[in-house]
Amino acid sequence: MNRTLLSYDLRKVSVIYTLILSQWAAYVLIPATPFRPWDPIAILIGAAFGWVIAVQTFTDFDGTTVWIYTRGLTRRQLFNNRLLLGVMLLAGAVAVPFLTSVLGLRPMLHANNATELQVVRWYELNLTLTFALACTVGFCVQLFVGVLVRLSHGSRCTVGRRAVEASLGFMVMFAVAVPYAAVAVGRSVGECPVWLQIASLFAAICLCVLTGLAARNGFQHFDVE
Amino acid sequence: MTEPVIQTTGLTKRFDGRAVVDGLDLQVPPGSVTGFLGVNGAGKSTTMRMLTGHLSPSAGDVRVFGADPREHSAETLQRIGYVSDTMNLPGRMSVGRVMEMNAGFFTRWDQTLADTLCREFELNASDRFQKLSFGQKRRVVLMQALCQGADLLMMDEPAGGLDVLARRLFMDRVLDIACSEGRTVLVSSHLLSDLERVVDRVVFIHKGLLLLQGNLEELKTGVRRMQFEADVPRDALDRHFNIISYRQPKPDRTVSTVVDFSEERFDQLAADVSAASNVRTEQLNLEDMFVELVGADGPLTAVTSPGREAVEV
Repeated sequence: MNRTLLSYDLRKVSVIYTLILSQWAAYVLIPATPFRPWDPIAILIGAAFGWVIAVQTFTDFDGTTVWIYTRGLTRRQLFNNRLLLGVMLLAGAVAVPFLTSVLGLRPMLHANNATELQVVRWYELNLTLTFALACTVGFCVQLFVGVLVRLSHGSRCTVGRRAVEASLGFMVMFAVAVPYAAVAVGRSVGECPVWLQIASLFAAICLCVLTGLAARNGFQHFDVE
Repeated sequence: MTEPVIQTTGLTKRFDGRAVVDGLDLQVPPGSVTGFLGVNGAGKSTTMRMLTGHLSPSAGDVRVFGADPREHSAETLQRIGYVSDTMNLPGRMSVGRVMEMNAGFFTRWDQTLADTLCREFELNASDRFQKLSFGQKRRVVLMQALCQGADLLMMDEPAGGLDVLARRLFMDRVLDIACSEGRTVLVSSHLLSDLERVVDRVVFIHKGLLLLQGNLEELKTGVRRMQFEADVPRDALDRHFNIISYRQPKPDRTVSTVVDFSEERFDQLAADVSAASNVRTEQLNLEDMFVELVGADGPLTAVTSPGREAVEV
Protein backbone atom coordinates (compact mmCIF):
# COMPACT_ATOMS: atom_id res chain seq x y z
CA MET A 1 0.00 0.00 0.00
CA ASN A 2 1.52 3.28 -1.08
CA ARG A 3 0.44 5.94 1.39
CA THR A 4 1.18 8.81 -0.97
CA LEU A 5 -0.98 7.37 -3.72
CA LEU A 6 -3.65 6.58 -1.17
CA SER A 7 -3.73 10.18 0.06
CA TYR A 8 -3.77 11.48 -3.53
CA ASP A 9 -6.66 9.24 -4.56
CA LEU A 10 -8.48 9.86 -1.30
CA ARG A 11 -8.31 13.59 -1.91
CA LYS A 12 -9.58 12.99 -5.44
CA VAL A 13 -12.70 11.14 -4.29
CA SER A 14 -13.29 12.89 -0.96
CA VAL A 15 -15.86 15.46 -2.09
CA ILE A 16 -18.15 13.11 -3.99
CA TYR A 17 -17.69 10.41 -1.35
CA THR A 18 -18.70 12.71 1.50
CA LEU A 19 -21.66 13.93 -0.50
CA ILE A 20 -23.05 10.48 -1.28
CA LEU A 21 -22.19 9.07 2.13
CA SER A 22 -24.09 11.85 3.88
CA GLN A 23 -27.11 11.23 1.65
CA TRP A 24 -26.89 7.53 2.39
CA ALA A 25 -26.54 8.10 6.13
CA ALA A 26 -29.56 10.40 6.05
CA TYR A 27 -31.58 7.79 4.18
CA VAL A 28 -30.65 5.12 6.74
CA LEU A 29 -31.23 7.27 9.81
CA ILE A 30 -34.21 9.47 9.06
CA PRO A 31 -37.08 7.07 8.08
CA ALA A 32 -39.09 5.97 11.09
CA THR A 33 -40.50 2.89 9.36
CA PRO A 34 -38.53 -0.36 9.38
CA PHE A 35 -36.44 -1.28 6.34
CA ARG A 36 -37.21 -4.30 4.21
CA PRO A 37 -34.20 -6.53 3.49
CA TRP A 38 -34.40 -5.84 -0.29
CA ASP A 39 -34.99 -2.11 -0.09
CA PRO A 40 -35.03 -0.85 -3.72
CA ILE A 41 -33.73 2.62 -2.89
CA ALA A 42 -30.83 1.15 -0.90
CA ILE A 43 -30.02 -1.07 -3.89
CA LEU A 44 -30.14 1.94 -6.20
CA ILE A 45 -27.97 4.08 -3.94
CA GLY A 46 -25.56 1.18 -3.44
CA ALA A 47 -25.16 0.51 -7.16
CA ALA A 48 -24.69 4.21 -7.94
CA PHE A 49 -22.25 4.55 -5.06
CA GLY A 50 -20.12 1.63 -6.24
CA TRP A 51 -20.14 2.98 -9.77
CA VAL A 52 -19.10 6.50 -8.72
CA ILE A 53 -16.32 5.25 -6.47
CA ALA A 54 -14.90 3.08 -9.27
CA VAL A 55 -15.00 5.98 -11.73
CA GLN A 56 -13.39 8.38 -9.28
CA THR A 57 -10.61 6.11 -8.08
CA PHE A 58 -9.61 4.66 -11.44
CA THR A 59 -9.88 7.76 -13.62
CA ASP A 60 -7.12 10.33 -13.80
CA PHE A 61 -8.71 13.61 -14.73
CA ASP A 62 -7.23 16.74 -16.34
CA GLY A 63 -4.54 14.90 -18.30
CA THR A 64 -2.73 13.64 -15.21
CA THR A 65 -2.50 10.03 -16.42
CA VAL A 66 1.10 10.29 -17.61
CA TRP A 67 2.07 11.99 -14.36
CA ILE A 68 0.62 9.27 -12.17
CA TYR A 69 2.03 6.49 -14.36
CA THR A 70 5.55 7.92 -13.98
CA ARG A 71 5.60 8.07 -10.18
CA GLY A 72 7.74 4.98 -9.78
CA LEU A 73 4.89 2.52 -9.27
CA THR A 74 4.24 -0.55 -11.35
CA ARG A 75 0.86 -0.80 -13.01
CA ARG A 76 -0.03 -3.69 -10.74
CA GLN A 77 0.77 -1.60 -7.68
CA LEU A 78 -1.29 1.24 -9.07
CA PHE A 79 -4.29 -0.99 -9.71
CA ASN A 80 -4.04 -2.84 -6.41
CA ASN A 81 -3.74 0.41 -4.45
CA ARG A 82 -6.79 1.82 -6.11
CA LEU A 83 -8.77 -1.38 -5.76
CA LEU A 84 -7.95 -1.48 -2.08
CA LEU A 85 -8.95 2.15 -1.65
CA GLY A 86 -12.23 1.48 -3.47
CA VAL A 87 -12.97 -1.48 -1.22
CA MET A 88 -12.15 0.59 1.88
CA LEU A 89 -14.48 3.37 0.76
CA LEU A 90 -17.24 0.88 0.06
CA ALA A 91 -16.66 -0.70 3.45
CA GLY A 92 -17.08 2.74 5.01
CA ALA A 93 -20.48 3.11 3.39
CA VAL A 94 -21.50 -0.44 4.29
CA ALA A 95 -20.64 0.34 7.91
CA VAL A 96 -23.35 3.00 8.00
CA PRO A 97 -26.43 0.69 8.06
CA PHE A 98 -24.50 -1.86 10.11
CA LEU A 99 -23.57 0.59 12.85
CA THR A 100 -27.00 2.17 12.70
CA SER A 101 -28.59 -1.19 13.49
CA VAL A 102 -25.98 -2.42 15.97
CA LEU A 103 -25.77 0.83 17.93
CA GLY A 104 -29.51 1.35 17.78
CA LEU A 105 -29.18 4.85 16.36
CA ARG A 106 -32.61 4.91 14.77
CA PRO A 107 -34.44 3.96 17.98
CA MET A 108 -32.51 6.69 19.74
CA LEU A 109 -33.32 9.25 17.06
CA HIS A 110 -37.00 8.40 16.94
CA ALA A 111 -37.43 7.67 20.64
CA ASN A 112 -39.89 10.49 21.18
CA ASN A 113 -42.18 10.01 18.19
CA ALA A 114 -42.36 6.31 17.46
CA THR A 115 -42.51 3.97 20.38
CA GLU A 116 -42.35 0.89 18.18
CA LEU A 117 -38.85 1.89 17.08
CA GLN A 118 -37.45 2.06 20.59
CA VAL A 119 -36.13 -1.45 20.27
CA VAL A 120 -33.30 -2.53 18.01
CA ARG A 121 -34.63 -4.42 15.01
CA TRP A 122 -31.89 -6.92 14.25
CA TYR A 123 -33.51 -8.03 11.02
CA GLU A 124 -32.61 -4.57 9.62
CA LEU A 125 -29.04 -5.82 9.46
CA ASN A 126 -30.14 -7.50 6.23
CA LEU A 127 -30.05 -4.05 4.66
CA THR A 128 -26.29 -4.04 5.22
CA LEU A 129 -25.89 -7.15 3.10
CA THR A 130 -28.20 -5.79 0.41
CA PHE A 131 -26.29 -2.53 0.23
CA ALA A 132 -22.91 -4.26 0.32
CA LEU A 133 -23.88 -6.47 -2.61
CA ALA A 134 -25.35 -3.58 -4.59
CA CYS A 135 -22.32 -1.32 -4.23
CA THR A 136 -19.84 -4.13 -4.86
CA VAL A 137 -21.67 -5.10 -8.03
CA GLY A 138 -21.84 -1.42 -9.10
CA PHE A 139 -18.10 -1.06 -8.47
CA CYS A 140 -17.16 -4.22 -10.36
CA VAL A 141 -19.50 -3.50 -13.26
CA GLN A 142 -17.86 -0.10 -13.74
CA LEU A 143 -14.38 -1.67 -13.67
CA PHE A 144 -15.53 -4.20 -16.20
CA VAL A 145 -17.28 -1.65 -18.41
CA GLY A 146 -14.25 0.66 -18.19
CA VAL A 147 -12.03 -2.00 -19.71
CA LEU A 148 -14.69 -3.01 -22.22
CA VAL A 149 -15.17 0.57 -23.42
CA ARG A 150 -11.46 1.09 -23.85
CA LEU A 151 -11.17 -2.14 -25.83
CA SER A 152 -14.12 -1.26 -28.04
CA HIS A 153 -12.71 2.23 -28.64
CA GLY A 154 -9.53 0.71 -29.97
CA SER A 155 -7.23 1.31 -27.02
CA ARG A 156 -4.04 -0.57 -27.61
CA CYS A 157 -2.63 -3.03 -25.12
CA THR A 158 1.02 -3.16 -24.17
CA VAL A 159 0.90 -6.95 -24.06
CA GLY A 160 -1.65 -9.65 -24.57
CA ARG A 161 -4.70 -7.91 -26.02
CA ARG A 162 -6.11 -11.37 -26.67
CA ALA A 163 -5.65 -12.31 -23.02
CA VAL A 164 -7.58 -9.20 -21.99
CA GLU A 165 -10.34 -9.97 -24.48
CA ALA A 166 -10.46 -13.60 -23.37
CA SER A 167 -10.73 -12.69 -19.69
CA LEU A 168 -13.53 -10.22 -20.45
CA GLY A 169 -15.31 -12.78 -22.63
CA PHE A 170 -15.07 -15.30 -19.84
CA MET A 171 -16.55 -12.80 -17.43
CA VAL A 172 -19.47 -12.02 -19.73
CA MET A 173 -20.25 -15.73 -20.01
CA PHE A 174 -19.93 -16.16 -16.26
CA ALA A 175 -22.16 -13.15 -15.58
CA VAL A 176 -24.81 -14.59 -17.91
CA ALA A 177 -24.49 -18.15 -16.60
CA VAL A 178 -24.81 -17.32 -12.90
CA PRO A 179 -28.39 -15.89 -12.94
CA TYR A 180 -29.56 -18.64 -15.31
CA ALA A 181 -28.11 -21.29 -13.03
CA ALA A 182 -29.68 -19.59 -10.00
CA VAL A 183 -33.12 -19.50 -11.69
CA ALA A 184 -32.80 -23.14 -12.82
CA VAL A 185 -31.80 -24.35 -9.38
CA GLY A 186 -34.46 -22.17 -7.74
CA ARG A 187 -37.20 -23.67 -9.93
CA SER A 188 -36.11 -27.21 -9.22
CA VAL A 189 -35.90 -26.61 -5.48
CA GLY A 190 -39.12 -24.63 -5.07
CA GLU A 191 -38.82 -22.42 -2.00
CA CYS A 192 -35.42 -20.86 -1.56
CA PRO A 193 -33.56 -22.74 1.13
CA VAL A 194 -30.65 -21.33 3.12
CA TRP A 195 -28.04 -23.29 1.18
CA LEU A 196 -29.25 -21.72 -2.06
CA GLN A 197 -29.08 -18.27 -0.57
CA ILE A 198 -25.52 -18.95 0.55
CA ALA A 199 -24.65 -20.40 -2.86
CA SER A 200 -26.04 -17.38 -4.71
CA LEU A 201 -24.15 -15.06 -2.38
CA PHE A 202 -20.99 -17.05 -3.01
CA ALA A 203 -21.61 -16.83 -6.77
CA ALA A 204 -22.08 -13.06 -6.51
CA ILE A 205 -18.80 -12.75 -4.59
CA CYS A 206 -17.04 -14.94 -7.18
CA LEU A 207 -18.48 -12.76 -9.92
CA CYS A 208 -17.13 -9.64 -8.26
CA VAL A 209 -13.70 -11.12 -7.59
CA LEU A 210 -13.34 -12.47 -11.12
CA THR A 211 -14.57 -9.21 -12.62
CA GLY A 212 -11.95 -7.42 -10.56
CA LEU A 213 -9.25 -9.77 -11.84
CA ALA A 214 -10.39 -9.35 -15.45
CA ALA A 215 -10.39 -5.57 -15.00
CA ARG A 216 -6.94 -5.67 -13.46
CA ASN A 217 -5.70 -7.65 -16.43
CA GLY A 218 -7.09 -4.96 -18.71
CA PHE A 219 -5.96 -1.91 -16.74
CA GLN A 220 -2.44 -3.28 -16.43
CA HIS A 221 -2.02 -3.86 -20.11
CA PHE A 222 -3.56 -0.83 -21.75
CA ASP A 223 -1.32 1.71 -23.40
CA VAL A 224 -1.14 4.97 -21.49
CA GLU A 225 -2.88 7.42 -23.82
CA MET B 1 31.85 -3.10 -23.20
CA THR B 2 29.34 -1.44 -20.87
CA GLU B 3 25.75 -2.35 -21.57
CA PRO B 4 23.73 0.55 -23.02
CA VAL B 5 21.10 2.05 -20.72
CA ILE B 6 18.72 2.20 -23.66
CA GLN B 7 18.86 -0.24 -26.52
CA THR B 8 16.26 -0.76 -29.20
CA THR B 9 16.39 -3.21 -32.05
CA GLY B 10 14.13 -2.76 -35.05
CA LEU B 11 11.74 -0.77 -32.89
CA THR B 12 8.60 -0.08 -34.88
CA LYS B 13 5.30 1.55 -34.01
CA ARG B 14 2.39 1.69 -36.39
CA PHE B 15 -0.80 3.66 -35.93
CA ASP B 16 -3.58 2.51 -38.22
CA GLY B 17 -1.07 0.75 -40.41
CA ARG B 18 1.19 3.80 -40.77
CA ALA B 19 4.69 3.43 -39.36
CA VAL B 20 5.44 6.34 -37.04
CA VAL B 21 8.65 4.73 -35.83
CA ASP B 22 10.24 2.40 -38.33
CA GLY B 23 12.92 -0.11 -37.39
CA LEU B 24 14.77 2.11 -34.93
CA ASP B 25 18.10 0.78 -33.67
CA LEU B 26 18.92 3.15 -30.87
CA GLN B 27 21.73 2.97 -28.33
CA VAL B 28 22.25 5.24 -25.38
CA PRO B 29 25.38 4.42 -23.36
CA PRO B 30 25.45 5.02 -19.60
CA GLY B 31 26.46 8.50 -18.50
CA SER B 32 25.90 9.99 -21.93
CA VAL B 33 23.82 13.06 -22.70
CA THR B 34 22.05 12.30 -25.94
CA GLY B 35 20.16 14.78 -28.05
CA PHE B 36 17.21 13.18 -29.82
CA LEU B 37 16.60 15.32 -32.84
CA GLY B 38 13.95 15.43 -35.48
CA VAL B 39 11.23 17.66 -36.87
CA ASN B 40 7.69 17.60 -35.48
CA GLY B 41 6.11 14.25 -36.23
CA ALA B 42 9.48 12.53 -36.70
CA GLY B 43 8.60 9.92 -34.08
CA LYS B 44 10.55 11.25 -31.08
CA SER B 45 7.67 11.36 -28.61
CA THR B 46 6.35 7.97 -29.70
CA THR B 47 9.81 6.48 -29.24
CA MET B 48 10.11 7.98 -25.77
CA ARG B 49 6.68 6.66 -24.82
CA MET B 50 7.78 3.19 -25.89
CA LEU B 51 10.95 3.62 -23.82
CA THR B 52 8.84 4.39 -20.76
CA GLY B 53 6.59 1.40 -21.43
CA HIS B 54 3.52 3.57 -21.97
CA LEU B 55 3.19 2.37 -25.54
CA SER B 56 3.75 -1.09 -26.87
CA PRO B 57 5.93 -1.53 -29.95
CA SER B 58 4.27 -2.97 -33.05
CA ALA B 59 7.53 -4.80 -33.74
CA GLY B 60 11.09 -4.91 -32.50
CA ASP B 61 12.62 -4.97 -29.09
CA VAL B 62 13.19 -2.28 -26.48
CA ARG B 63 15.46 -2.57 -23.45
CA VAL B 64 15.90 0.02 -20.74
CA PHE B 65 18.33 -0.92 -17.97
CA GLY B 66 18.49 -4.32 -19.66
CA ALA B 67 14.78 -5.11 -19.39
CA ASP B 68 11.53 -4.52 -21.20
CA PRO B 69 10.17 -1.25 -19.73
CA ARG B 70 6.66 -2.74 -19.54
CA GLU B 71 7.97 -5.29 -17.07
CA HIS B 72 10.08 -3.02 -14.92
CA SER B 73 9.97 -3.45 -11.18
CA ALA B 74 9.12 -0.50 -8.95
CA GLU B 75 12.84 -0.18 -8.08
CA THR B 76 13.77 0.22 -11.75
CA LEU B 77 10.89 2.61 -12.39
CA GLN B 78 12.21 4.78 -9.57
CA ARG B 79 15.45 5.15 -11.55
CA ILE B 80 13.71 6.59 -14.60
CA GLY B 81 12.62 10.21 -14.80
CA TYR B 82 10.34 11.23 -17.62
CA VAL B 83 9.05 14.58 -18.75
CA SER B 84 6.62 14.63 -21.62
CA ASP B 85 5.70 17.68 -23.61
CA THR B 86 2.07 17.36 -22.52
CA MET B 87 2.48 16.25 -18.92
CA ASN B 88 -0.05 17.81 -16.59
CA LEU B 89 -0.20 17.76 -12.81
CA PRO B 90 -3.30 17.82 -10.62
CA GLY B 91 -4.55 21.38 -11.02
CA ARG B 92 -5.81 21.93 -7.48
CA MET B 93 -2.55 20.80 -5.91
CA SER B 94 -0.08 23.42 -4.71
CA VAL B 95 3.55 23.41 -5.77
CA GLY B 96 4.61 22.52 -2.24
CA ARG B 97 2.15 19.64 -2.10
CA VAL B 98 3.41 18.34 -5.46
CA MET B 99 6.91 18.24 -4.03
CA GLU B 100 5.71 16.55 -0.85
CA MET B 101 3.92 13.92 -2.87
CA ASN B 102 6.98 13.23 -4.99
CA ALA B 103 9.01 12.80 -1.82
CA GLY B 104 6.52 10.09 -0.90
CA PHE B 105 6.71 8.41 -4.28
CA PHE B 106 10.48 8.48 -4.77
CA THR B 107 12.88 7.05 -2.23
CA ARG B 108 15.79 9.11 -3.61
CA TRP B 109 13.93 12.42 -3.71
CA ASP B 110 16.29 15.38 -3.16
CA GLN B 111 14.36 17.91 -1.09
CA THR B 112 17.34 20.28 -0.80
CA LEU B 113 17.54 20.52 -4.59
CA ALA B 114 13.77 20.95 -4.76
CA ASP B 115 13.92 23.90 -2.35
CA THR B 116 16.83 25.44 -4.24
CA LEU B 117 15.08 25.10 -7.59
CA CYS B 118 11.86 26.50 -6.15
CA ARG B 119 13.77 29.65 -5.24
CA GLU B 120 15.71 29.80 -8.52
CA PHE B 121 12.62 29.30 -10.63
CA GLU B 122 10.73 31.83 -8.50
CA LEU B 123 7.97 29.41 -7.61
CA ASN B 124 5.75 29.95 -4.61
CA ALA B 125 5.10 26.73 -2.73
CA SER B 126 1.54 27.75 -1.89
CA ASP B 127 0.51 28.48 -5.51
CA ARG B 128 -1.88 26.02 -7.04
CA PHE B 129 -0.68 24.33 -10.21
CA GLN B 130 -3.71 25.45 -12.23
CA LYS B 131 -3.01 29.09 -11.34
CA LEU B 132 0.54 29.01 -12.69
CA SER B 133 1.55 30.41 -16.06
CA PHE B 134 2.56 28.01 -18.81
CA GLY B 135 6.24 28.62 -18.19
CA GLN B 136 5.89 28.06 -14.44
CA LYS B 137 4.02 24.81 -15.05
CA ARG B 138 6.87 23.56 -17.22
CA ARG B 139 9.29 24.46 -14.43
CA VAL B 140 7.36 22.46 -11.87
CA VAL B 141 7.12 19.47 -14.19
CA LEU B 142 10.85 19.56 -14.83
CA MET B 143 11.74 20.25 -11.23
CA GLN B 144 10.12 17.07 -10.05
CA ALA B 145 11.96 15.02 -12.69
CA LEU B 146 15.29 16.55 -11.69
CA CYS B 147 14.79 16.01 -7.97
CA GLN B 148 13.59 12.41 -8.05
CA GLY B 149 17.17 11.16 -8.18
CA ALA B 150 16.75 9.26 -11.44
CA ASP B 151 19.68 7.56 -13.13
CA LEU B 152 18.03 7.99 -16.51
CA LEU B 153 16.24 11.18 -17.48
CA MET B 154 14.11 11.28 -20.60
CA MET B 155 12.91 14.75 -21.48
CA ASP B 156 10.64 15.34 -24.42
CA GLU B 157 10.71 18.98 -25.46
CA PRO B 158 11.37 20.11 -21.88
CA ALA B 159 11.19 23.80 -22.71
CA GLY B 160 8.65 23.63 -25.51
CA GLY B 161 6.40 26.68 -25.71
CA LEU B 162 8.65 29.01 -23.71
CA ASP B 163 9.95 32.26 -25.13
CA VAL B 164 13.53 32.42 -26.37
CA LEU B 165 15.07 34.09 -23.31
CA ALA B 166 13.25 31.93 -20.80
CA ARG B 167 14.13 28.84 -22.77
CA ARG B 168 17.78 29.73 -22.87
CA LEU B 169 18.11 30.44 -19.14
CA PHE B 170 15.91 27.55 -18.23
CA MET B 171 17.57 24.96 -20.47
CA ASP B 172 21.02 25.95 -19.22
CA ARG B 173 20.07 25.28 -15.61
CA VAL B 174 18.00 22.20 -16.28
CA LEU B 175 20.58 20.54 -18.47
CA ASP B 176 23.33 21.52 -16.05
CA ILE B 177 21.58 19.61 -13.26
CA ALA B 178 20.39 16.80 -15.50
CA CYS B 179 23.87 16.14 -16.79
CA SER B 180 25.52 16.16 -13.38
CA GLU B 181 26.24 13.12 -11.22
CA GLY B 182 26.82 10.82 -14.17
CA ARG B 183 23.19 10.61 -15.14
CA THR B 184 22.17 9.31 -18.51
CA VAL B 185 20.05 11.86 -20.30
CA LEU B 186 17.97 11.58 -23.44
CA VAL B 187 16.57 14.93 -24.43
CA SER B 188 14.62 16.03 -27.46
CA SER B 189 14.45 19.70 -28.27
CA HIS B 190 14.27 22.12 -31.12
CA LEU B 191 16.81 24.32 -29.37
CA LEU B 192 19.77 22.86 -31.18
CA SER B 193 22.22 25.59 -30.24
CA ASP B 194 21.51 25.00 -26.55
CA LEU B 195 21.69 21.26 -26.92
CA GLU B 196 24.97 21.51 -28.75
CA ARG B 197 26.61 22.94 -25.65
CA VAL B 198 25.72 19.99 -23.44
CA VAL B 199 25.10 16.83 -25.45
CA ASP B 200 27.87 14.40 -26.21
CA ARG B 201 25.81 12.19 -28.50
CA VAL B 202 23.13 12.92 -31.03
CA VAL B 203 20.48 10.83 -32.72
CA PHE B 204 18.78 12.15 -35.82
CA ILE B 205 15.39 10.71 -36.65
CA HIS B 206 13.13 11.61 -39.55
CA LYS B 207 9.77 10.14 -40.54
CA GLY B 208 10.34 7.38 -38.02
CA LEU B 209 13.69 6.38 -39.49
CA LEU B 210 17.00 6.62 -37.74
CA LEU B 211 19.18 8.74 -39.98
CA LEU B 212 22.33 9.09 -37.97
CA GLN B 213 23.56 8.57 -34.43
CA GLY B 214 26.88 8.94 -32.76
CA ASN B 215 29.32 10.97 -30.74
CA LEU B 216 28.84 14.66 -31.44
CA GLU B 217 32.54 15.54 -31.68
CA GLU B 218 33.24 12.65 -34.02
CA LEU B 219 30.21 13.58 -36.09
CA LYS B 220 31.46 17.14 -36.32
CA THR B 221 34.79 15.86 -37.56
CA GLY B 222 33.24 13.47 -40.06
CA VAL B 223 30.33 15.51 -41.33
CA ARG B 224 31.61 18.03 -43.87
CA ARG B 225 30.05 20.13 -46.53
CA MET B 226 32.21 20.04 -49.65
CA GLN B 227 31.83 22.73 -52.26
CA PHE B 228 33.42 21.85 -55.58
CA GLU B 229 33.97 24.47 -58.27
CA ALA B 230 33.31 21.75 -60.81
CA ASP B 231 30.79 19.18 -61.88
CA VAL B 232 31.45 16.19 -59.65
CA PRO B 233 29.10 13.31 -60.42
CA ARG B 234 27.14 11.86 -57.52
CA ASP B 235 28.20 8.29 -58.24
CA ALA B 236 31.86 9.35 -57.95
CA LEU B 237 31.17 10.80 -54.51
CA ASP B 238 29.11 7.74 -53.59
CA ARG B 239 32.12 5.52 -54.18
CA HIS B 240 34.12 7.26 -51.45
CA PHE B 241 31.68 8.81 -48.98
CA ASN B 242 28.32 8.36 -47.32
CA ILE B 243 26.38 11.28 -48.74
CA ILE B 244 23.77 13.19 -46.77
CA SER B 245 22.95 15.71 -49.46
CA TYR B 246 23.97 16.43 -53.01
CA ARG B 247 23.01 19.35 -55.19
CA GLN B 248 24.29 21.31 -58.16
CA PRO B 249 23.21 24.93 -57.84
CA LYS B 250 25.06 25.69 -61.11
CA PRO B 251 26.32 23.35 -63.85
CA ASP B 252 29.93 23.92 -62.79
CA ARG B 253 29.31 23.86 -59.03
CA THR B 254 28.61 20.89 -56.77
CA VAL B 255 27.74 21.02 -53.09
CA SER B 256 27.60 17.83 -51.12
CA THR B 257 27.56 16.95 -47.44
CA VAL B 258 29.05 13.68 -46.30
CA VAL B 259 29.18 11.96 -42.92
CA ASP B 260 32.55 10.25 -43.10
CA PHE B 261 35.01 12.81 -44.38
CA SER B 262 38.70 12.10 -44.03
CA GLU B 263 41.79 13.35 -45.87
CA GLU B 264 42.53 9.84 -47.01
CA ARG B 265 39.10 9.37 -48.56
CA PHE B 266 39.30 12.79 -50.14
CA ASP B 267 42.66 11.99 -51.72
CA GLN B 268 41.11 8.86 -53.18
CA LEU B 269 38.27 10.95 -54.62
CA ALA B 270 40.72 13.48 -56.07
CA ALA B 271 42.64 10.67 -57.69
CA ASP B 272 39.40 9.31 -59.12
CA VAL B 273 37.96 12.65 -60.31
CA SER B 274 40.61 15.26 -61.00
CA ALA B 275 38.09 18.13 -61.00
CA ALA B 276 37.25 17.30 -57.39
CA SER B 277 40.59 18.60 -56.14
CA ASN B 278 39.27 22.16 -56.27
CA VAL B 279 37.22 21.99 -53.14
CA ARG B 280 36.34 24.00 -50.05
CA THR B 281 35.31 21.93 -47.03
CA GLU B 282 33.33 23.22 -44.12
CA GLN B 283 32.56 21.75 -40.70
CA LEU B 284 28.92 21.96 -39.71
CA ASN B 285 27.39 22.83 -36.41
CA LEU B 286 24.50 20.78 -35.04
CA GLU B 287 21.85 23.00 -36.57
CA ASP B 288 23.38 22.87 -40.04
CA MET B 289 23.82 19.12 -39.70
CA PHE B 290 20.17 18.83 -38.78
CA VAL B 291 19.08 20.92 -41.75
CA GLU B 292 21.27 18.95 -44.13
CA LEU B 293 19.90 15.66 -42.81
CA VAL B 294 16.21 16.40 -42.65
CA GLY B 295 15.94 19.37 -45.00
CA ALA B 296 14.52 19.24 -48.50
CA ASP B 297 17.71 17.81 -49.92
CA GLY B 298 18.36 15.45 -47.05
CA PRO B 299 18.02 11.71 -47.24
CA LEU B 300 14.61 10.11 -46.94
CA THR B 301 16.15 6.88 -45.78
CA ALA B 302 18.84 6.08 -43.26
CA VAL B 303 22.31 7.25 -44.18
CA THR B 304 23.82 3.95 -45.12
CA SER B 305 27.28 2.63 -45.37
CA PRO B 306 28.37 -0.84 -46.52
CA GLY B 307 27.20 -3.49 -44.07
CA ARG B 308 25.34 -1.05 -41.87
CA GLU B 309 21.76 0.05 -41.54
CA ALA B 310 22.58 3.55 -40.40
CA VAL B 311 25.85 5.28 -39.86
CA GLU B 312 27.21 5.13 -36.35
CA VAL B 313 30.15 7.34 -35.65
